[in-house]
Amino acid sequence: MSDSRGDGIAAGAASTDGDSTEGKSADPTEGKSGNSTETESADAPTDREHRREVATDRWVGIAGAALALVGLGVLVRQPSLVLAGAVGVGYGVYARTGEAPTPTLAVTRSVSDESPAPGDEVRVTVRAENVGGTALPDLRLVDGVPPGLAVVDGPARVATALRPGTAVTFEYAVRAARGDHDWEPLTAITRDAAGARERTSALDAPTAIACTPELSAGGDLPLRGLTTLHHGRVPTDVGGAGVEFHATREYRRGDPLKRIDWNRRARTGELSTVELREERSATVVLLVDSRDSAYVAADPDAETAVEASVAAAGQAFSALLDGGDRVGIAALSPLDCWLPPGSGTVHAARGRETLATDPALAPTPSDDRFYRSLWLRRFRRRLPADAQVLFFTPLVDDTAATLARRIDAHGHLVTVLSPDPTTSETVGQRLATFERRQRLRTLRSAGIRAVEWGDDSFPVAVAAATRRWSR
Amino acid sequence: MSGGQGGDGATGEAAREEATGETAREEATGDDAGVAAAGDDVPVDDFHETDARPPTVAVVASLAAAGVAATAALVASPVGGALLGAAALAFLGGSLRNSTRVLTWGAAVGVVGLAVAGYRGAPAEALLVAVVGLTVAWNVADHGVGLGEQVGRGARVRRNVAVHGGASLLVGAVAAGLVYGVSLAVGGGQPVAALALLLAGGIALISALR
Amino acid sequence: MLAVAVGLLAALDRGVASVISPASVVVTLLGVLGVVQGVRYANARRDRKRLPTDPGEPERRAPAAVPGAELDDRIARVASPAPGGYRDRRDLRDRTREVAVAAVARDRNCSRGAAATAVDDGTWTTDPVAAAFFHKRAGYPLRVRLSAALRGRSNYWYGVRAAIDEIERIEEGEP
Repeated sequence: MSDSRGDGIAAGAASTDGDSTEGKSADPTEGKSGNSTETESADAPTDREHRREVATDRWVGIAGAALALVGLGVLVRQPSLVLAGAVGVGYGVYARTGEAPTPTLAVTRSVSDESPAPGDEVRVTVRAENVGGTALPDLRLVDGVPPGLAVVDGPARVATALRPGTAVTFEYAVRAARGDHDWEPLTAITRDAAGARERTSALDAPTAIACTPELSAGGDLPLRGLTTLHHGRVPTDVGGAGVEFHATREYRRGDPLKRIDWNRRARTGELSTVELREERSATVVLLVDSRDSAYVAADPDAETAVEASVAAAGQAFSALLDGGDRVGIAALSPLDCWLPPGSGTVHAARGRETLATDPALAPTPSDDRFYRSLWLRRFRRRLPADAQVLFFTPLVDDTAATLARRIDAHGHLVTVLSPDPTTSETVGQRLATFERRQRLRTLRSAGIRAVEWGDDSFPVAVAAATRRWSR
Repeated sequence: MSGGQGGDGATGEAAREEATGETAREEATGDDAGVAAAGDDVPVDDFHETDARPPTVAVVASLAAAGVAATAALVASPVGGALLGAAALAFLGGSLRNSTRVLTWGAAVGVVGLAVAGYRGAPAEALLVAVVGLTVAWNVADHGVGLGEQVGRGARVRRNVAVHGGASLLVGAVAAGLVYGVSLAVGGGQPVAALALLLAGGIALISALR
Repeated sequence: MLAVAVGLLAALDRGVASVISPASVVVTLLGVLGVVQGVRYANARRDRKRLPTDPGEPERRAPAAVPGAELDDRIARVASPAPGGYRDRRDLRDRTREVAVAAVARDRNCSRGAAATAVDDGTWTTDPVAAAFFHKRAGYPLRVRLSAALRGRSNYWYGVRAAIDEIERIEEGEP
């Protein structure tokens, strides 16, 4: 028994600091080897939920093999074989004595930024301390990364061994994406030293990040063409927001900066606000399709049509607000989402918040069932009589097209804005592509304006469409 | 996160691990820079799937143990040593293919190798080293495949593998020392009677355990 | 198994007696028994299915569905020549027909009724396979039947592919 791994045992079984294994060469992860650090902290154990406990069946048959060796040894009168077989029996006993330990861990998770901007990398640090009385000779931790986030650096996992009082820390990075993201419980898999039994537990250490994209300044989005066609902007004699000069008045808090009369300020030092001739503003409701079926993309790892719709709705929201329209937000979703049409900076902030973090527009679909007629009844009750609807939907099923026509039939101007999630590699995908195209054609022939955008950006598509309509 | 598919020997694997360890980190920092420069909309290549191959440290440890076993068996019997060498190759192959089935077949070949070596009259010391080496090699390789499935190759696992391998080595050493000591103690007496008693005890024990 | 152990212990009793006079036939038998039982026990490993916990891939963002993936699943279900999957076949055919009728109506600038007739009687296409897909009576060409039989596929599978190809040709042909 004098192989080079004698030290390995000592290190493995007794040492506390780290990854000393077979002395092959310098450990490339030396910098990270703060694998376990002894700490005195008396954290309360994290709530644990038992998931499953099974035999791994790794050692099945070892006793049989050992017995066969012993038998052979007796048969051929070779004592050494019997001894070898007896060692095998020893392993068989070893494999049966263990019990998968119950992990009593204090888990803390910290994120480098709780409200990151979209695309930011957020570093996540997970620390698990064995606060129980038993050693965990084989502990594997897999973190419950929120389904809407992708890990961009390192697996969110670690495997280690923890004596009581020791802790393991691991780190990974996720790329932030729009929405509220809640971490799911950490999965802890423990095995006994022989690895014959395995226990899976879930440890819940709540963590969340909220990623709220800025509303892009939507000035370049030619949506006025969309909204003025039916409800023309009628010049009125009321002063307010508009284009044409009406009068000046004393500055009041909350007036937009761009309407302050800076010339006068320079001349006299007084703040005053230019009143413009108010146009009759349109009332627009942005309706985003976020049913289960709308979470589609041309590639499983690509942004879903819901993301594309929400991003476009954000652009439309700020463009319309800038244009003086009253804008509301609704979701075609099993969850209720309704921001009544409004205007002003407070409303802009609420709109931004709704688009970013409303559960109905979450980055992953809701499990609830969608009831079409219930939804339509509620939506119609809320929709102001003169409101137009900008309907963002990938149009991958007939329900979306039907609803667009129903809302149109109730006297609201509906414009369908459709991100194109289709692709055409397989037969089924091609059929889906044809069906969607057919839906668009049917809508257009029914007099509903429809814009689709795929590779080109939303503003480009809208610009092209408005040119077409104004011809 | 790691480099190309491994296909050759253990030393190559080890070297690659070190190499990828370095480059992976550099790539990561490169990524950061790219994100900062590229802004929001550009999808930088995201982490897609966990590398489910067993961690290199487990593969290397398994091969080392199998090598010790083969060498020990070779002392007594070239055929036995060769069979244990074949077992070592099977452990490597099973590790590379994530197949516990291949590992089991390797272990079976190794047991046959032990039987042959013992039949050819291998000394007890060599055979005990070989059996412990073979068991540890299989155990660590199988453990590695399980780790690969559950935490992947990119994760930190050294301590886990060291504890697991060390514990099984310890158990083997204690068991071998025990039976060797017993055999020395009764060695002067009736070998056949001792063997028959051992076997009967073994069969009874295993029947009870099943 | 306990019976085996008891039997062995009984054998041992006699064995111990016979061992002292070295009539080792019993010992040999014991050895054979040990090997046989050992191999039998070890064999239990062969049909064990190991099911360790699979923690999944939380690192990956929840994958998005690709439009048409569900249709592909259905097509895969009806790809084998085995009977059954009647509903899948009918639904797929209906949906394909819907698209084909619309495409033909647009292409020929005719009414939907006329287009539906053309699709149903096979005159909408020059491809006999695509025609056979919607036609009530016309069968698939022999070439397709042979190929389907050889590759273990259903005629239907060839039909739906040909029909989609044909619809694409019509769509592409549009200005």
